[in-house]
Amino acid sequence: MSPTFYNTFQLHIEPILRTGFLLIIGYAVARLLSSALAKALIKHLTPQQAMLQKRFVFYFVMAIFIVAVFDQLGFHIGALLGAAGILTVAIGIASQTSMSNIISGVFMIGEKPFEVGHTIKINDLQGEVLSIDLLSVKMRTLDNTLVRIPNELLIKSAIINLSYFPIRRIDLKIGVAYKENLDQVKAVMMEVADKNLHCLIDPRPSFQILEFGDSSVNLQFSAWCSRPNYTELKTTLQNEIKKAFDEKGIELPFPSRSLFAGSGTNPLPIKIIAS
Amino acid sequence: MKKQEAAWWGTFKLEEQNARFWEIGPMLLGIERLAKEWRLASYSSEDLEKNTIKIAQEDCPDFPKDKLQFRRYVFHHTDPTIILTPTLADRSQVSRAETSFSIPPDEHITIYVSSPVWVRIETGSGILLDEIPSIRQSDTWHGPNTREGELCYSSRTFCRTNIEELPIRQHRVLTPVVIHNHHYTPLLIEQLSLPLSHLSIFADENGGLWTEEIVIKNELHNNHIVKQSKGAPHMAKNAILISKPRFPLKPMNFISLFYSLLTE
Repeated sequence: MSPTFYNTFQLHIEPILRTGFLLIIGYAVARLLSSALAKALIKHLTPQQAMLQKRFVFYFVMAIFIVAVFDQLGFHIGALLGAAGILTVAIGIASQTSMSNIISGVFMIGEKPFEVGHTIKINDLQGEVLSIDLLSVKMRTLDNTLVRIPNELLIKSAIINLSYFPIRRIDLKIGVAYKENLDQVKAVMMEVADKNLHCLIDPRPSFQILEFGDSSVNLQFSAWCSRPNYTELKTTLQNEIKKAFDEKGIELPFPSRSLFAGSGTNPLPIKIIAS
Repeated sequence: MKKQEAAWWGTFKLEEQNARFWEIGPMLLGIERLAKEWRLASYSSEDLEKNTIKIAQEDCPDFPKDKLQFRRYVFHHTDPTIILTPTLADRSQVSRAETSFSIPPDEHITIYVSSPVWVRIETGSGILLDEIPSIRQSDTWHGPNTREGELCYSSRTFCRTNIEELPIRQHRVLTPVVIHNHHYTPLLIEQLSLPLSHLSIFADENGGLWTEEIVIKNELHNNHIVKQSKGAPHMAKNAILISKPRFPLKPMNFISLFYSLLTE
């Protein structure tokens, strides 16, 4: 081996190989450590916390190795950090939307209005949260499509978290005919709720008369259930109420309109104009 | 208390292509063994007063076929034995008194609250096939508000105070609850929350099923002290342990858990 080649190798190729090796090792160590930690903590943390821990460990370990790489390449770390600060400001000004999303993301993670796995509703979108990232939240809708919502939009919008509390209330709005006995209607609905195993005994279902509508007396019947049974109870309760009303002869009226000719309940005058 | 029929629980041998049927109160259970699979069929009647205990090898009870629930468990080769064990529900049970009652100051009483058994079905080699409740209970919520609390099963209880009035039912487990009122005002009892997943089951010499005794002390400033006795209650004669609790509690945890066991 000639001395020239040896010198070239020592001066240029060796540091590159060393830094490449450090980066590969760093990546492997970061992946390994973050995954191992996530696995170890999965029983004690929520999916979101586990995901955040995993990412934090990964980026922290990678940062250490990248600093080591720059050190190997002969860069002065202090000067580099100063330059990075100036660069960050420049990039920040140039990419205001992204920065806004990142800052919104940090606030979202801190505020925790929802977590990974929760079902949320934003504007007209409803779905399960798959991930909360620095720039956006990814959500799987009920018809199995992926929606990416920028964090900036989330911060400005009203978010309805359907998974936050363990029990939920179902409000059924029902109109019954004016001729019906409302005490009997209430008793029938309470009996239906009592027999439905998914309907919670406590808090008790409630019965409310909302208004005297155009074609019916409008009622609201509210029943509580555990969160996973929400859809099933909503369907079974309405089905059972309809069946019970049919059995008891309680009428669920269609919208109807009565015409009056101006003087009480006299019939409309009819005149035959052609034979 | 009168002596009941032979126990429905224990270890049973089943030849291939054979079936056995159990009537456990309102529950009907059928288990069939094939060369490579176990088949289970169960049905819970709405007649909660039904108190039959019967094991049949050939006489298949009258199963309502449209309401039966079927389950299949496939193995490389099935074990010839099957083990049935009574166990308690996987959640707490809120027992609402049919008629609420008051305990005057400085009085103490023992009331008996029953809970339906669940049937735990295991193969001889200890593989759990299923746990089936003998009756399906309604859900209810027990807690200070709709944000804090726990999801429980709901039940109604007569809160009997006389042990002689208690019927022996092998599909229900009795819990003696001793309540001391150390407060200077009467204590109104409307419902009780029983932590079933932390209780064991004991069988007495008559075939009755019992859990440990629970002692509740209503102290001044409405503090409730709750304790669980160790072992079978004294009224269960020659009782033996037949089912351990799902989640045994350390004594310190027990007190903190039942802050709301008693509802006034």
